[in-house]
Amino acid sequence: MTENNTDWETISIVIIGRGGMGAVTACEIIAEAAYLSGNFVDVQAYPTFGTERRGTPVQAFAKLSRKEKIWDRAAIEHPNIIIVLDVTVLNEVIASSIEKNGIFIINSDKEPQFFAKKFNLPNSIKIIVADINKLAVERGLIIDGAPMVNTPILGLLSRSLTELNLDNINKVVQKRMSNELAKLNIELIQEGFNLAKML
Amino acid sequence: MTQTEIADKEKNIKILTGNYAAAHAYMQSRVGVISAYPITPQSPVVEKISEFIRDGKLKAKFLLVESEHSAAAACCAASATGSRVGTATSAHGLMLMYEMLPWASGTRLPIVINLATRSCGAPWSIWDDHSDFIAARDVGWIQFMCEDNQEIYDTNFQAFKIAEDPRVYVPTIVAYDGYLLSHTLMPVQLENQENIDAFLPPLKHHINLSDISQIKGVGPVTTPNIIKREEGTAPGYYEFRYALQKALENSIDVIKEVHDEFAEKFGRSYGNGLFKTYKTEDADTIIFAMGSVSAQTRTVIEKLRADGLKIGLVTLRLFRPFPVKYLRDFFKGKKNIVIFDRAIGYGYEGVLCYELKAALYGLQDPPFIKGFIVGLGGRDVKGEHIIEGVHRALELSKKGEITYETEFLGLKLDELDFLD
Repeated sequence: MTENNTDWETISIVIIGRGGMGAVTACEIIAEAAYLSGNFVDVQAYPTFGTERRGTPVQAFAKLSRKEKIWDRAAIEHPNIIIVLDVTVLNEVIASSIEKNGIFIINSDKEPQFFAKKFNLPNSIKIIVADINKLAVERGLIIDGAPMVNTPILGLLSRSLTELNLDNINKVVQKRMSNELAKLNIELIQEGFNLAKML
Repeated sequence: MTQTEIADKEKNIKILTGNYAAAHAYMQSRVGVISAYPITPQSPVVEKISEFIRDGKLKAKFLLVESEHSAAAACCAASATGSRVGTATSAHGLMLMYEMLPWASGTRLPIVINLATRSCGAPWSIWDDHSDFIAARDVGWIQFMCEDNQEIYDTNFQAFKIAEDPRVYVPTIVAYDGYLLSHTLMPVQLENQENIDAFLPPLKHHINLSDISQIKGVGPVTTPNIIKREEGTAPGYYEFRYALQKALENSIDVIKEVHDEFAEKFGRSYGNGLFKTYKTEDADTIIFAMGSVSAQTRTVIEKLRADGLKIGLVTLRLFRPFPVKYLRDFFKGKKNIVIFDRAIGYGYEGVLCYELKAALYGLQDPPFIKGFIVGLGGRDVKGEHIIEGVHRALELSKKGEITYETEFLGLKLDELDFLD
């Protein structure tokens, strides 16, 4: 299967993970990179409203709009894209919330078919999987003892949403991090991009 | 980012939360004193400001205090010395400040509060509604409600300029929905410092406490009547409060003037500065709302119009002083008004609802008005709730039926299994 350019007018993205994994940061990078790309006139990124604690399941959100200003302030019910940083928080309810032509991006050592079967996902949904944990551990992108997967997984997103190309993601990463850390992150985003297994 | 960096870039758009938009506006307004106490969802405003001060980007005194009451008291004192003063708070933080709010307005101190709105307990809730904003209604402050992060940034400069205008001298609240704006990143066009400085020159305060010979007294004790002595005549409380009310009434012209000047200088406007209209040209039915509720309504106006309704939206920006004259002019001849309130005047109805009803008193052939409550305590306000409310209101209008009970949209009583 080839890279797919989605033609949604507005794109809603939900990232699920655990507190401390950087779901919120990843959404912020997506929104900034999308705006920087010039393909979106308006963007939003926001955390789960309320309190977040390290280790507990968390969600973060982004909305990207091609033409119109985003006035929608309601919660995302059927995301176009779900990004899973930690499969242990992925459940039936979350999996079935995805829009019918949606894209699933999952950090896992399993094959995409595994998730299609487990959650009974229709063929219209694209599933992109890579073992980002392994990649982060191997390359030493570890902070406070935990592999950081939130930026490398953006390589997978860029694979499916080509307008959000790696250049823009890298520029935002460069701006937000120290030189050394940015360099490693950018390399891993590229490797994540290359590792993507798609269904 | 330093101020020179801002000046260097022609179009400096940053992706910022509402809280950071407010903090940037404070920095670029060159506030002299900030005093605040942290409370969710406001805290990032003052955290960012303390960073700006630490990094030398803002030369200001940050007064750490032990409560919001002390923060408000410190703001009053600092403002009385002639400094430009700002703070930020939410919900019970504002309620703890409450005692000082009429002091600030009565003393005519041009303080600005950024309010990231939040519901008031009990029960405990950190999520958004407009209860805190509404609770500050009757203490003599100017009150703005913003609809996006750009408006937060822009309104802050206007707020200082309005509050500090000698025709006004009234403290001002700039409010925005907690979380929905306070924690949501959006593109915000930041203006260069030179242009901000030209729009908002340094405060020339009417009281200069550093000049002992000039002190006439701040917050004096007044009596029910005027006191006449050889050294001069002291107004009574009544005269002071008359002056405050007149200042608020007259501020509407200043608010429009400042808004128009900002629009001309920076190219961004917010309706007539008092309220914004959307698709109202041919509309006979108007939705009236503010903040997040209004924003959500914008997403369904086209859909309602496609269903054949001649419907538009009025977003209230200026809640106090309530722009009665302009609202009367606008609503004259309209058929129906549907109002969505994210706050209740408990024991009565939605606050915008009864305020607008009163404002339209005596209009010939008055519009049919129906109000709904939405989104208390952060309950999601969906487009479908707005559509449901509009249809319900139009059905009542057709029958000419006036209802006396508040109606809540998006309630889930049927999911409470302990209810019969």
